[in-house]
Amino acid sequence: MTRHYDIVAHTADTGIETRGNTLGEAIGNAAFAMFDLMYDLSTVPATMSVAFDSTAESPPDLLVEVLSELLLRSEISDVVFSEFRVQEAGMCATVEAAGATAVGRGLRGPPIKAVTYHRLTCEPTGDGWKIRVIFDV
Amino acid sequence: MSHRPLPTAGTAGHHRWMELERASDFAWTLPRSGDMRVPGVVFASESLMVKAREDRAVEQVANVAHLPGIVGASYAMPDIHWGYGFPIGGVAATDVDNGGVISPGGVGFDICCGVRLLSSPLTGADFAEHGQRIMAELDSRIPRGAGKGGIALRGLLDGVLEYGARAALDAGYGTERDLERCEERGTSAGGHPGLASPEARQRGGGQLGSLGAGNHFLEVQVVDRIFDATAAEAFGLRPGTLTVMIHCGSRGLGHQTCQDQLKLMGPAMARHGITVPDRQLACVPTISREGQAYLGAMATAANFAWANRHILAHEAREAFSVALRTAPADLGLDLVFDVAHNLAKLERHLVAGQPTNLCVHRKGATRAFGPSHADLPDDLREVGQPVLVPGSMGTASWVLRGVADNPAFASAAHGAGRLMSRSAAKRRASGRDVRRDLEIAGIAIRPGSVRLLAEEAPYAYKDVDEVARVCEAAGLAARVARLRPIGVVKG
Repeated sequence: MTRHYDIVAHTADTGIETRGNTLGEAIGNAAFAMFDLMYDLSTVPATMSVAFDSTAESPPDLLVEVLSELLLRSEISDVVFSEFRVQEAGMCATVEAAGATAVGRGLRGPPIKAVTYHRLTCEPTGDGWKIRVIFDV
Repeated sequence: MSHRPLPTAGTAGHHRWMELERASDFAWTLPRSGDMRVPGVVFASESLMVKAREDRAVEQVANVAHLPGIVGASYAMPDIHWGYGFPIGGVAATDVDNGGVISPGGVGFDICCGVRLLSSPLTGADFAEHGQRIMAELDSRIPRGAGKGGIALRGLLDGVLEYGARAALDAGYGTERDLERCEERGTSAGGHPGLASPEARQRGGGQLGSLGAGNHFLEVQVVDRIFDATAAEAFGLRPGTLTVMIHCGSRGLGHQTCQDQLKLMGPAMARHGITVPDRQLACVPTISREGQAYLGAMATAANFAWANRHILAHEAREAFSVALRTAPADLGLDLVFDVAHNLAKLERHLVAGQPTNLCVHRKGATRAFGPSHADLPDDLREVGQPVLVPGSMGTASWVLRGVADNPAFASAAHGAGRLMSRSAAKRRASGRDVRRDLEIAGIAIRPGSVRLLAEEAPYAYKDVDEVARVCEAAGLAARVARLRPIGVVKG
């Protein structure tokens, strides 16, 4: 599945902007963008999956929480996630992600170290949600 | 994939560079305004200011000036560029005994990222004869790229988190002398395995003894020019001899530690009634319970980084040993120094003529103690601390030395500083093109990923010779030697 995002050029690091009809969809798009910066996700099948819940005090915090958890699980288990389903209700996100092993898979961008709060945006618009996030690479 | 690059930055809040006042040929002042507690000071020449004017780095200098307890100024080194929270090249010192804060954003995610330099009696002629074997051995022995791959045993982790490079030495890596030539002797006090979260241990536990990716590297270099013969001799650097430079940090363990701490820092900051202009600058009083907890976690991750570079240097010696069929102890690959450039340290400096306990944040900046400093090893006390300034893989790196009366709490540059965004660099040439150009220039390159070379191309960085020159002219550090790359193992 291809999802749309824009790259935000940054001198030292890399950022993305994306949107969604719901907060959950926007977070899912941001998750896709995060992994797509590192790997060509069009070549990553969904052969293994994880599911978890994240809670936070605000939409930006929920975004950071979900992306950071995915990054952590990816690095611990050597998995590249390529498919995402995020459902959000009351600042609680139920996340399902699927992908395949990272072993032997070539990088197309530098590994992302972390999700930063710098210039972080996660806010409603008239017709959905928009997100901007800068990654430390 | 569906994406297109957006402009580097918008215009809102993007005007702070216009307020800069030229203080000298190599220093610019950003006067206090709004809630800034101190002015900003950027050490740069006119040519180095070009990029800082284009992006948000100067705005970040202003933001850092809002930190409670900051003293002197919010400083930026000559390699200043846009980071997250702090600018890269940012230095901020806070008065610990008067509400001065500590900010994880002033250290960054790659806690204790730094540089280690080895000198040798080997020459360019030796590399001409044995270079292929040396590069092949390095290529096979230095783990790099994403994820795991660390060469150290997992059983070493607890000892390393508490004792840093000392624990690696006790496990058979490196030499006792290595510790003498390492900032803090390779051990950050206060580290403890219990201060790393289970997630941080899981994430970084298998990465001890690995380079990582991005701008991390191991380079074989040749001493190109000597600027200060006395200091070069003290550092073990002679014209035409080979050096080995290693740039890496605390890997996933440090990244996760910072993420864990930032999560705690937000609510803690509210409890202390602190507000900052950028959430990435979240901070708490250094002496508070939360501040002490961060210092402990940071020291724990720093110990991983000291040990990581120590182990990789050991592996480099092994690679040279096999390639040259010489015992490691007979190679003469001696440590010049190991410096951190992402760390906060408790140091004592003069503020308004008074000795003051400071928490000095260096985010992409190197500690640069001048001659006679008590923390320097005996054999370096006359000349000052080696300051290592890596450039890009196609240009040069520099060895500077700390000088007396440094105007930024004993700090200097940490690298060339990026000039181009990663997407802009990729648009200019492919990784294959960059590899070809390096090989034409006589530089052997062993990339973890050819594709990633494009983002790290030499033209993506500022002129490192100018950065070194400005460091000297601004009184931050003095030039000792220029090192030219001839072999690059890239993360």
